[in-house]
Amino acid sequence: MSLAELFSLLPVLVLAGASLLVLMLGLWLKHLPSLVALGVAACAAAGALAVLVPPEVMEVGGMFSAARYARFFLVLWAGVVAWTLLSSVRYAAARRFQPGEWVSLLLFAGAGMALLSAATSLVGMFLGLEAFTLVLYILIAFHRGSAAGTEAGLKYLVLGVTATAVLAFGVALVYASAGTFHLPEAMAGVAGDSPLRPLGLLGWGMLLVAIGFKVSLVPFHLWTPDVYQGAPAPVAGLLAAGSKGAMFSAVVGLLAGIGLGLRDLTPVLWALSGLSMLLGTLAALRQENVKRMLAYSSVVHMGFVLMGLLDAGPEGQEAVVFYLVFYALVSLGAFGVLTAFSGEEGEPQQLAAFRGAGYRHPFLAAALAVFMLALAGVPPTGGFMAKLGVFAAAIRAGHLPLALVGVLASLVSLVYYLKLVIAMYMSAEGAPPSGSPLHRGTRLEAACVGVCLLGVLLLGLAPGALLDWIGSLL
Amino acid sequence: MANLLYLLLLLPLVGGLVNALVGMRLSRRLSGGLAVAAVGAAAALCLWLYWLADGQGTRVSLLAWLESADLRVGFGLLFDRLSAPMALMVTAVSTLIHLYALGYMRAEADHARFFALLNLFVFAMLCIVLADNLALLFLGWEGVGFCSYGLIGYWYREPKNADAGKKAFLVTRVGDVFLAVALLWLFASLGTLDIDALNARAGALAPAALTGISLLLLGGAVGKSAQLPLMTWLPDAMAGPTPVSALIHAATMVTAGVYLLCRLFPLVSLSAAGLQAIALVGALTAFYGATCALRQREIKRVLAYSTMSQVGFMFLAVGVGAASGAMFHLLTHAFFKALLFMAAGCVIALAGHENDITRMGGLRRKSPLVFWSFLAGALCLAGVPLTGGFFSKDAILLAAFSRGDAFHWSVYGLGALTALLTALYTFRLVYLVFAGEARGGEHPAGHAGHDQPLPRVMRWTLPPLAALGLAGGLLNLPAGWPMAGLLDGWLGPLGGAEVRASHALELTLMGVATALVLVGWLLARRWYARFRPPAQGGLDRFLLRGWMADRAYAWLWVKPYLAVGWLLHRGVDERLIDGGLDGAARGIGRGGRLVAAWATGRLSSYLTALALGLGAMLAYFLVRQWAGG
Repeated sequence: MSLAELFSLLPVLVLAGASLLVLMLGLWLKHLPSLVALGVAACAAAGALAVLVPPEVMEVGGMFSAARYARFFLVLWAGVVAWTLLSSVRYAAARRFQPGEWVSLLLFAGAGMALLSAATSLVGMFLGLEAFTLVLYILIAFHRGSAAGTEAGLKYLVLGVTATAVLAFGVALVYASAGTFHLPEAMAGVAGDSPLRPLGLLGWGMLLVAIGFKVSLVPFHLWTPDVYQGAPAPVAGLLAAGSKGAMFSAVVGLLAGIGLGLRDLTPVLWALSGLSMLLGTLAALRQENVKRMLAYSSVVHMGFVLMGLLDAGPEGQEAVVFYLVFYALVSLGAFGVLTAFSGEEGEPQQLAAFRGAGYRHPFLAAALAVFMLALAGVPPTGGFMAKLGVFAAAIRAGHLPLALVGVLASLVSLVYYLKLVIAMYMSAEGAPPSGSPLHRGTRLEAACVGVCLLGVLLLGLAPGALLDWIGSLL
Repeated sequence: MANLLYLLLLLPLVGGLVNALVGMRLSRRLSGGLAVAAVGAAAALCLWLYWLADGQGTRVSLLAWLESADLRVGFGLLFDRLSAPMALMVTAVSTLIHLYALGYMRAEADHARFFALLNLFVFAMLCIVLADNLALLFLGWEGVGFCSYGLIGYWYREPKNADAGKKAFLVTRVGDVFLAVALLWLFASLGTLDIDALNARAGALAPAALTGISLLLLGGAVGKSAQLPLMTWLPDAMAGPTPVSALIHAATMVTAGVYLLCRLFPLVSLSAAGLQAIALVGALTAFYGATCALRQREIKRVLAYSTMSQVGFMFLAVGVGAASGAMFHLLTHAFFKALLFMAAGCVIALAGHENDITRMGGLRRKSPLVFWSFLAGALCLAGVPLTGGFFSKDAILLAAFSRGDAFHWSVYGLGALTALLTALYTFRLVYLVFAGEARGGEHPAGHAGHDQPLPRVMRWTLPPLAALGLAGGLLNLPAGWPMAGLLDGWLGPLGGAEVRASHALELTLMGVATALVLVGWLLARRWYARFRPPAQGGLDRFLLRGWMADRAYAWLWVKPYLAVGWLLHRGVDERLIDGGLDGAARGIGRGGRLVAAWATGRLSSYLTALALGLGAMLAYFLVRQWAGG
């Protein structure tokens, strides 16, 4: 690997290096705020490098891209990690998380996600994916005092390892059919009349299973509610915003090279998307636990994103990337509010705990209400524009029935999103909240939530700027 | 200079808004005085700017209101030979009625609402009169409807009054729909809503379209002007305060339909069938109103039916092509009918708030001024020679007769018969109210009237109107008289077809009209000069209730409508739609429980699902590969 290549990879290296540095510093320095400051600085530095310093080569080691698309996501993920660090200072301190390990792992997850979004080969994809999945196993079970967290971590580990095995098998089969790991050439095996096409298709089937598991598409989604429920709220936010988004950003690259082979995959993608939207919606209806509801909601949203991918043209990709940015913002915001509401003892998870919150915590509750409406796709939030984009993509690709399923799912989804809003605003004001009262949230947390709120509204009111920017990346 | 025309609209609008917003904080004097001043200033301004209407008139355009593709609608005013006299009449009569209202409303607590609505009414009415396009006219059209609704139900605490307001609003609404359709049709086929342009280009329309549009316009006019078959709201509208009856339901708003047809006369006159329909509606309504007025017992209801009847004459005039005759009768009628209503308000107060004319009598001695004023109005209404009403009604009948075919002769016959009935019911009213001895019934004579003399402002607004009514004929004397045909000459081509009749015919018809009035008067004197308790026969009841129109409409429209509403509410909405949605929601909820139950929490079941999904996917690719060869 030449110096120029390393230089092109510099922003990711900054994140990974900072992760190692914090890990070692953490042995002596137990002061969480200063380590968080260091982590945020590293994220800022990585983002600044990605924006300001043009890469010398466009592809590093035939595995990772340094093009604008990759850099865009690097900035996004660095921002997500910095946001998570900032918004969880009180949360982590209250639960006596090991400061060095906490910050270091989050930084490393950011590096992994950036690598995944930048992957230009199946190996690179595998490496990036595993880099942050391994981190997530630890992060989900990071709260040692929480039995649910440990259980969630174990479940994710066992299922994740299985999915990794399937992914490795799939990668091997695709390699066997095409003779290369490099994208987009590796996709040549499925396209056209290659004699090894069956192998390629089989490999694709396995890839899809693994991807479906990572982004939790029906029927590979069953881990999601348990893990969301058990994981610490900031980690659940990272899981929703980052890991799924990074996976999808890589899938955009995978599908870009597939060409005519998309015809073979379309029925499968169609079924996965439709099932996720329908069954995810149905399952979310009955949830009394907000984190489980958000888990099922993420299943539904991933179904929406997949629908956008059915249009492989630039407009479809644009819609998908827009959706990912929106979903990152809104899920960070929603879990950020949960984090801010969390006291020493635990997180508010039951709907009943939010009763009357609108009157006691005006800002945080209002923000949460806006996030719920955004998830439901109500204008003028970004959710409306995001959904509009993927519906339009599906219709362009000739999948009107699927778009109708999506509209129907959106409609029904209002029920469970509004349930939370109703609990916050329309329950009797005087009713004492059951269990422990909600935490008021610190100023820092409110500021973090405010950033997401602003972003979600801006995406709805002025989506043109981001859409143009995304268009220039593709 | 021309831009001052906007002040005509602006003055009453501002007056109304000020009263609506802060009226209750102002003193009663200030609030009422403001309303009078606003309308009075508009009247003075209208007189001052009258010369602008000369020649082709003046058009001013303030700003664009709606602009979308081909549709351009502005706040534009057209002050020409037709709209100027109408605007002058509206503002002048309004001023007198506003003044009268100062006295009439002297004891009402809620004065600001009254004056606000009254001023807004004048604003909306002037919108109708001065609009240079039909969209602005329609705005005024709906505006007067709204103000009328608010004022009929002014004493809204009594359900009867509120119901009357609702009835008036809904029934006129039916006509408004026809007008709206006519507007859309005109815009769709001619691409403009400008009144001048519409009149100029109307010849380009197909004959069938012309007839259709004319009938739709007639439908709109019929609703606002309380003509057959949308006349039922007017008698009930008398529930409002008397100044409202005088201003809205006699002098101005109910004539808006006539004005609309005159405004679009060049268009309407192209359709012979449309004109015949207008004439027929007018003649029938005139007859219907006159018969109903014969047996009414409330003084204001007599006047309401007579208004209906007189507006029918105006429609008849438009229908026989004499737009100028219609305008002539409109102006004289506005004077004497406002006078009659205002005098009736005084009469009611003098009789101790008694509405029933069979319980009045002998009021002549109580207030000679009111008597003479009422008599002046009654002479005009009855069409006694040399009064304004005589000349204007006669011009209409002459125009109808001189068309010289069977249809028009029969229309003339109906009109002449109506003239006879008019004289009869008018003198009946005069005799019952003023002649003989007071029949106060259980009310002790002059129960409130004696103790509380009428405010001066109520009494002294009567003589000017009486003078205007009596001398109204000077506006348009028939040929052969000095100063003949002033209005005809002023209106020029806007006045419709010239009436061609020999002098002899004219004199003959005048003689017939005079004879009819005489017969009517003699009959009334014979029957009513000495009071006899009213007969209670079947025909009397039939006429008292307006030919049972309300009951017929209830069976024809209201009850079926309520039945359909009940069916849609109970059957379709509650059973079908609500039931269906509830069922769907229950089904979805059940499905949700089922799907959520998959997440058992057991790792093994998750792994199984993953394996099954993988198997399904591989099987699919296998089958596809195999089938695809």
